[in-house]
Amino acid sequence: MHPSTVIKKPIVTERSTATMAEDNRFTFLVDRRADKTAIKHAVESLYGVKVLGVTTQVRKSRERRLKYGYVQAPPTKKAVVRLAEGQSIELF
Amino acid sequence: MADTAQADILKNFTVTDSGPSRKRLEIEVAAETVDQRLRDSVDTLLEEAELPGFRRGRVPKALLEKRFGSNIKNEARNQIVAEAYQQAVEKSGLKVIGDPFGTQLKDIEIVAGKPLKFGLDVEVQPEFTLPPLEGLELKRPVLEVSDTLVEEELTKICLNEGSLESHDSSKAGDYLTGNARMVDQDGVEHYNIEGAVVQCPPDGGKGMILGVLVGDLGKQLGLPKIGDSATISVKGPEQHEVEALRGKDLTITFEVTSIDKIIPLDRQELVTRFGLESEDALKDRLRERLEQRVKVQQATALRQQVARYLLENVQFPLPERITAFQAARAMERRRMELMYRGMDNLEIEQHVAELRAASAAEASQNLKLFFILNRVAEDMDVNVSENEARQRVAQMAFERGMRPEQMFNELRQSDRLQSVFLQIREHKALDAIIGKAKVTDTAASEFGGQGVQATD
Repeated sequence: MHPSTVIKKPIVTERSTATMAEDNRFTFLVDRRADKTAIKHAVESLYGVKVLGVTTQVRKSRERRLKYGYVQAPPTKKAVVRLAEGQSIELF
Repeated sequence: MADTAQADILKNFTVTDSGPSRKRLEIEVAAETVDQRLRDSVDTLLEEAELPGFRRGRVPKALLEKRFGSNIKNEARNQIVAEAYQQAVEKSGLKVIGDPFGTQLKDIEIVAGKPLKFGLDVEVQPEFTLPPLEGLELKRPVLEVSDTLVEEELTKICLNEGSLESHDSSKAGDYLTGNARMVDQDGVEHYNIEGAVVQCPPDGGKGMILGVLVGDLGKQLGLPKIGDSATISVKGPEQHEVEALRGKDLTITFEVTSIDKIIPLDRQELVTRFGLESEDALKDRLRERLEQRVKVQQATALRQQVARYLLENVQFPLPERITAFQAARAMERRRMELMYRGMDNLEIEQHVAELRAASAAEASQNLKLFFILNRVAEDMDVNVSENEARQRVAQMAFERGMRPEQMFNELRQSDRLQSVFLQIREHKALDAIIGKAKVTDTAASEFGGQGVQATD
């Protein structure tokens, strides 16, 4: 998979901002099909940094009832990437 | 913030003459003040900002600066400029009239860590002595609403409410719609308007196109057919509010796309539209409207006499050439005055076009009267309440057959409410002088032939 397909967008929230500052860990929304190795390579090639570790979480969406029936959005995958000390990604 | 707002933020300022009744203010605000204000703006936003993923007040500063940087800067710049300008005016003791001009707020650039320097032109109240304002002898024309006038007004309303009939060829008095393009002698394009409307001069003589009065429009335009193109040459009016047009040899190309003739509305249909029972009832309603107009005309006649007296008896140096800002204000004043007198839009625009073509001396007199009335209003402590403005708007709406709220909103949207306030202030100043004058009634014929007309 191409790196830009793997990384969909950075997640910028209060929690991700805190982990960024404390542990040098950056959070991204990634493609559901990407594995940790692909994510590591994608981050390294896109941002030119050294990735020490990747953790992922798959969030299943809840079924919602709309006027035309029950719908369920596809699950989303979140990756938290830990960078080597002294390295950083400018997310904002 | 409150303390900062009251603190002196001026590092340096100078006042220089830039012509009669005009001054130029050069203002400098220290770099520390600029930084402080930028910080304050961010801090205020930090407390209030709510972004997805963040609780209120928890958004990182860097993120805010990235997303709203230009807004933060603009807000800080607006605050600094307004405050510094106010302080400079207070310290210099200038009696400023209206808003500053010459520099657009958006052109002033604010940079963190650097002092903010900007220049503004202001119009100041010239120094002069007012003549005695009590016991003036004025004549009030006695005007009557005749049956002929009611008839004329009825005919005019039928025309205004009439429908359009399309033709392939034009006759005098027809309305032409098309693409109008104005270029000057250097080939610079000033206007290119699709759907511009031009009336073939009814008498084949002068007429207006793109807001410019052309003495021989009938001759230059001819009587074109659909698809025809006419080229009109005219000299740019010396008092035009767009300075780039003044004195230039202008060429207007007008391509006709449609020709319309106004078919007056049937009187019986008009009676039904007004929700009345008969033509007589409609005429009674019109008579009431004209009687109201008579009062306005009498007041206008008295005010014009006072204005003439003031112009003749007050002397002070006037600028040789009025600025675009002053010209625009003069046009707006005239527009408001004519709306108040009950003219329709087309007539108003024709009068405004005439004002653009007026001589420099006339324009200066207009400016002079503005200064004098401003001083009279100040001396007599004349103030205008919002209620008075609403009443005036209601009166204008009645004249134009509109709902007052609709007219009020229209004026507010086109930023003309300030002109209404200004007009009322001037009228009140003149009325205060009239209140102390000796007024005698005179027959309209003796007054100079000014009778009540359907339009003026």
